[in-house]
Amino acid sequence: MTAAGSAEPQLGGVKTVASDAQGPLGASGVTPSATAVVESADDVVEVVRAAGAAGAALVATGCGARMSVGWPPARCDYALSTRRLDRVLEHRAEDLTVTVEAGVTLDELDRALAERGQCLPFDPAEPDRTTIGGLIAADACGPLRHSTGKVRDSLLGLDVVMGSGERLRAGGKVVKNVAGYDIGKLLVGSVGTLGVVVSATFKTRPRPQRETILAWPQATVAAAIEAAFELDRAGVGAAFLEAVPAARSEALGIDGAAALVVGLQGFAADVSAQSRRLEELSRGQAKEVASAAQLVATALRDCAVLEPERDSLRSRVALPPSELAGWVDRAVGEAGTRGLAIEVCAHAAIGVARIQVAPAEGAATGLLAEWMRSSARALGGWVIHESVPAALRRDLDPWGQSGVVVELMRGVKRVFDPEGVLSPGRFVGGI
Amino acid sequence: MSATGTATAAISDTLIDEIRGVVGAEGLITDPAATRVYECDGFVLARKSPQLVVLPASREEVAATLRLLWQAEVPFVPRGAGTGLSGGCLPLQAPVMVGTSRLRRIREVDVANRRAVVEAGVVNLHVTRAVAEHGLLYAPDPSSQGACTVGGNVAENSGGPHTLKYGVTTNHVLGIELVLPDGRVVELGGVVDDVPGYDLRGFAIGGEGTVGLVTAATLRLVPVPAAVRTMMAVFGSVDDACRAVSAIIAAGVIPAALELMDRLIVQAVEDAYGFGFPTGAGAVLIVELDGLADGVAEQVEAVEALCRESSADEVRVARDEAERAALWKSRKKAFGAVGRLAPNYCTQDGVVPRGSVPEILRRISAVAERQRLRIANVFHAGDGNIHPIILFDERDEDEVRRVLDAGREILEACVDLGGSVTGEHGIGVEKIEQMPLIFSPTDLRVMAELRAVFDPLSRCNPGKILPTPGACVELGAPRRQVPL
Ligand SMILES: Cc1cc2nc3c(=O)[nH]c(=O)nc-3n(C[C@H](O)[C@H](O)[C@H](O)COP(=O)(O)OP(=O)(O)OC[C@H]3O[C@@H](n4cnc5c(N)ncnc54)[C@H](O)[C@@H]3O)c2cc1C
Repeated sequence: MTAAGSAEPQLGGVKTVASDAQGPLGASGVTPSATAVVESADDVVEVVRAAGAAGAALVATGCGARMSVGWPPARCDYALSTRRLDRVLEHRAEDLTVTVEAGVTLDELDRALAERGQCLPFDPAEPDRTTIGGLIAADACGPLRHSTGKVRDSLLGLDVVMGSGERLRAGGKVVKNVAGYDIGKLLVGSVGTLGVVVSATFKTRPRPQRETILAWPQATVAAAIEAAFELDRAGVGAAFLEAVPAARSEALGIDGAAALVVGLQGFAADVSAQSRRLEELSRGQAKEVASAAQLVATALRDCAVLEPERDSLRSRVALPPSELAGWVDRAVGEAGTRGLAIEVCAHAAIGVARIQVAPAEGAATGLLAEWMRSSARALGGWVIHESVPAALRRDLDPWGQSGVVVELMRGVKRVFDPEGVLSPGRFVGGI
Repeated sequence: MSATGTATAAISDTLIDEIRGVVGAEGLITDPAATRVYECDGFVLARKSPQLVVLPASREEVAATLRLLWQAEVPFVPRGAGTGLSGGCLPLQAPVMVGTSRLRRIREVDVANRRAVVEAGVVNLHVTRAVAEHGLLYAPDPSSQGACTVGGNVAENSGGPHTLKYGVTTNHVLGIELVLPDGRVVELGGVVDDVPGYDLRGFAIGGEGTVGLVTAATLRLVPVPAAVRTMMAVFGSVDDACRAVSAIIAAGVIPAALELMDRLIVQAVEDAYGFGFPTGAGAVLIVELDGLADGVAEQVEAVEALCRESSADEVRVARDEAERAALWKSRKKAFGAVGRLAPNYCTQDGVVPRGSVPEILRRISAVAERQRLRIANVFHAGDGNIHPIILFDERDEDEVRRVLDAGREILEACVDLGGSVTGEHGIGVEKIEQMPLIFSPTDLRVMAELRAVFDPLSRCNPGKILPTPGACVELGAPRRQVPL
């Protein structure tokens, strides 16, 4: 594949650079022999085809912020870097849509949208390292999910190169469209196992007229979740309701063992009214945080990746919202009896928590991971282990999905990537 | 696409007996006079009676029925209330129809978690009625919501006036219970939105009944907004109304609904329901704002000012719930009022970028003139989702031909402006020919292959959505012999 003896190594006519173990793929635990840096959709086609023809495995990556998601790839001969697919193709402000290439980071896109007073409805951790391709592949989300939903709710269309090397267009550029099957949904959260996203079209939204953040000290994260649930049910229209642990509340300049952090965004009149309402409902305990809302928001979204360099277990749990506080209480207890230190952040009113288990020797972490999954399943919920410590990586199933649906998913994979070129082994059921 | 008579294939008496054994006599319709009722949906330009209509009353009965059909190699068509507007229910290459009218249970309302599990045959509006006492509602609200079913909504990924702010069906369905064409029951998605794996639920929603029969869905419910204000703005021309729409969006206001009615519709609606629209109005905008009280009041003022700047002759805010209901009735029953204008109508459902709405309306007028047809417009202006209603008389063959041509021309214009051929009504049989306008041969092949993951033998609603190169083969000489 690599043109022998030539100064410029290539894959499918596209220049490659040597990969290093600390590079973007580091977190996945594998090291490809080279990384192809694509600059156009045609490049992507060439690289995917060349990999397929050589029977090689290819893993697409942006900045590598979410390479830990899923099983480690079973094979990885080459990486494909989308970072040079870096153009915002079309921002139709009057239509509240934007079409953007896969390698653009959320921060870069946000700056472009801000010029016309708009933004994207997503705020996952590390926006400076999260590319559009990664956002879609990892189905990344942050606190704002409380009010604006997930990637699937704002994604309108995709331009993709499938594992077969063919180019596919899913959806379109208009805000409403039911022509044909909704293929774009399949790519969201597919961790690169179906296709390489070249560009995507999203709904945008007007930047809020005003925003402010209030913090309400709480005894425990579970108590913060409980408070969030009550506020939400009392009709407080928050942009987000985040329950954060001690470590984070300090960083945010909040006293207390834990806190409920409430984001208010929207029309000035609404924001002031909600802020007053909140102070009332909390009997004066919820107070506007002193630092700039933007800074706090950034700190909050990064909650999910506290100390990402450590070899910790990071899990996302989703439950019926009314069950979350009780479950978190039990999880803290379970961790305690196993001698493990855990930290919980939660999108508190929508039933989603992020759990981090500090690195520990022995079998305890694996047992806790299994407890999390079985207890969540018993409540109708799911747990995805988004980052698994090296010692558990071969055994702990990050996904926990099985049955006829996995059979159907295998069928989907075969349609997109019959030869298994893209990120083999990373997904559900070893897809 | 004219009347095609009854299906030619016959179904064995044994099979009928076996199915009767599953659903009972009350779940079976074989009398040709009675099956005629099922010859078409809201798309009346094609008709064909099924030979047999099966109405199972539970998931188990659906599964057993589909298993029998699978073993007998007989294709079927799922049907909800038959309000579809693209011919999705037409039993084109399938002699059996499986209806959901007896799957009527609301299995569970989980108030604390704002979810409801309802069976496919539950009527859309009945969901909202059932949860209203808890201050909740089910957001997707097709204008047909008094009749259409949740199963039909899921199959079509239906929208409605309030999708501008709240999104369409797929944004409100967490999970579906689906019976695959071979009778296996699968749960796609779940009660939470973070189920590992490819989003098969998202793929099945909008599948137009070609991936299996939906027996139930887990729906997200939303709280009734604290404040709602509905207003009407009257304009001298459609252009002025469109300018107001753009100005509202540009001002950063996202109304709950933003609907436009043109002169013909306003007149018909006024004749039918007497809401009090000024006669001779060129266009009426219905704007609904909802949210928290203070912000809504602020937005009402802003919208009123923007409408006046766009030369509105009159802006009226509904004073109370009764007036608001009357206004919405005129909008949602607008299609009904069209009956006063002509014996038949056919609705198109194209989408254009919001900024191109004035342009597409100009092109629609030009088409109307060229084809010598009357076309009325009542549509989701805030989404750029047009609904030109082409009026005609089905007894006039030449006119019917011109109606079909006009529909095609309008959809081509939508695509030309960067849009889509359908925003919410689906492809069905009606718009199959237009699919290649927006999708490449590869896109279409991939769609067919993905559908085959669920339905490898095309047993479930065959002949819909995708242009099949071998269509005539399938129609005339099925690849797989159906035992007669
Ligand atoms: C007056 C009027 C106004 C309308 N307004 C709107 C509107 O505002 N927005 C909008 O989106 N639509 C609108 N529609 C279109 C129509 O009402 C929707 O498409 C609706 O969702 C169809 O539901 P139904 O139960 O009637 O389905 P049907 O017409 O019975 O079926 C529609 C399709 O779904 C399939 N199907 C039905 N049930 C199932 C099931 N349980 N499992 C699998 N497949 C199934 C059928 O095979 C068919 O392909 C309108 C229609 C009318 C007549």
